Amino acid sequence: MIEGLHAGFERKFPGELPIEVMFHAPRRDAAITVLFGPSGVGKSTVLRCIAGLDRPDIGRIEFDGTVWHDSEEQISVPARQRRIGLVPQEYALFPHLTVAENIGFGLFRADDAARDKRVAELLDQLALMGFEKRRPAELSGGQRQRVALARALAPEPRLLLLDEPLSALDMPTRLRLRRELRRWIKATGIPAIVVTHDRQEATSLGDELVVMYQGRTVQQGPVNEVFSKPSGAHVADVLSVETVRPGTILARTNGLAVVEVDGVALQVLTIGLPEDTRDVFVCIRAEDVILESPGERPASPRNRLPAIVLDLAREGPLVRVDLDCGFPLSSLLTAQGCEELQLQPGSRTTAVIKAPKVHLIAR
Amino acid sequence: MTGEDWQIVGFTAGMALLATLLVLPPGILLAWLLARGRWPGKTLLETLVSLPLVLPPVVTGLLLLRLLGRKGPVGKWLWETQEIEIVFTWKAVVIALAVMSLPLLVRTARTAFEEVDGQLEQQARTLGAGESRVFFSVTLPLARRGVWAGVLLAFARALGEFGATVMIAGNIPGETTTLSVAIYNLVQLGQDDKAWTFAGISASIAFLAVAASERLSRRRS
Repeated sequence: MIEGLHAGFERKFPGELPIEVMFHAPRRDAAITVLFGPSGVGKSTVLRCIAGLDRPDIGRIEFDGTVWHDSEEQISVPARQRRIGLVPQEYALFPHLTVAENIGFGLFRADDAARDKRVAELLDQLALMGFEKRRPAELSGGQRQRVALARALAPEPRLLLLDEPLSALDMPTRLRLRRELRRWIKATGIPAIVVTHDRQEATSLGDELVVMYQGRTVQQGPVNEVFSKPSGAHVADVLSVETVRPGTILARTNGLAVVEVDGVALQVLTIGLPEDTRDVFVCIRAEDVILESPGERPASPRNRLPAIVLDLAREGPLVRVDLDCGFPLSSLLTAQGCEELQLQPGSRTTAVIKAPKVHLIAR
Repeated sequence: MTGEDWQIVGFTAGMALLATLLVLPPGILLAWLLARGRWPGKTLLETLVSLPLVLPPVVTGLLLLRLLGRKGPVGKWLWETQEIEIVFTWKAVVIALAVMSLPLLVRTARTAFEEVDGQLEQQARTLGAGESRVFFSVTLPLARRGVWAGVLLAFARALGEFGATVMIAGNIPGETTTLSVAIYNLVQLGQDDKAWTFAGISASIAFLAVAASERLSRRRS
């Protein structure tokens, strides 16, 4: 049996770019697969096809060896038989039912006692105790999200599907829930597919990343691998970041911190990062990496990293320089600047990164 | 108001109630079917259901008479196999009222079903619900105000029906005479005072039913 979800299909709408996807969502360790791409590339349609709410025109969807859809064999398992837990973008809570009734909706085959027990369990797990008699309209955005998640989890689905789970929330709630959501999903032991257009959400929620660009899946792999090694210019563009490395915060004082990345210490700002965060992804965009001749004197307290040039690639009027400064780093500079520094593979240089330009994402 | 008068009021209300109950299941089913997507014959069915709204009621009555009379296709079968006589009995009153009030129920309930967020129904399906559970746990509860509004309108329409009733049920005092038919009789006989009393009763019930229906369809929970 091939474990996890395998999807390879096409879905066309008149007058729009066809959606063509080919990806795999693993099941081991309850992996969270993030379907990432800009808004309007058809990510939600892909999720709806997996849920059985929409049908691919051509192709196949398979989960743990069970065929959910096969256009050639004319198989299409209806949504109600797929045992998936869907959390749609605006949560779609039943407005006429209470929180407890919403959560228990999928448990109609269980007897009253078993249903009440399971609902109580989920109310407790998702910190919804005391709200069971309320209606969705009387809840905050964060509470609604938890109810939607609890409702999806109640019938013990085989696969969780979350469509932009944080986008309906206000900014502070979103930042807080980003970490909690991953913890909740992981605690269930159920593999999940999360759709998002937010890079930070993708990196903080996901284990596996599937990048979508203009209706197509263009790259798949572990999150930091995809971010640090985009397979093509499109992917790099979609990801809009060149360097993503795991790091550890060594010390922090007054909003400043020292982060260790592959043995190299970087000075960074920690605004907006939870107090107890230690493990982070360090994100650096190539445009923010300035190169200097090795001998120049430091002008301001910056991160100055001795580096060796690995490769040069021309991109229009710019040149992308791949460096090794203890960890792989990319820099983008003008062709003129590149000539002045006389860079070529193997030459030594100094990479300068301002502390505010190093972006941290809790992991 | 004599005992006979109250009999007429009670009989009319009872017939209207029966007719409303009779059209409820097919009316809701039709409304739901018409609110869903596209299918062959939809426009034809839509037109047929709404026809009694615009057709002169006597014409509807005449058609029913043809259909249900002892020589008519349905009436003949009922008489020969079940020995059931429809025309000029209270059963004919119920059928006339039902046919005339069906379009109001269907049209109102249909709008209510169309307003139900399809995403909620799909969500129910992902939670394992079959089509009947989706309907009874999500669609119908969410459309209940509109359906109630339609039921009240249908009831009000049934109370005041005249043309079709007279054609198919006639005017047999104590057996098929309804409020509207009685008013017609009274005016013919020159008993205007009593006609006005009946008209007042009729108007009051209709007013209450329509007012309640309006309230239901306007206020959204």
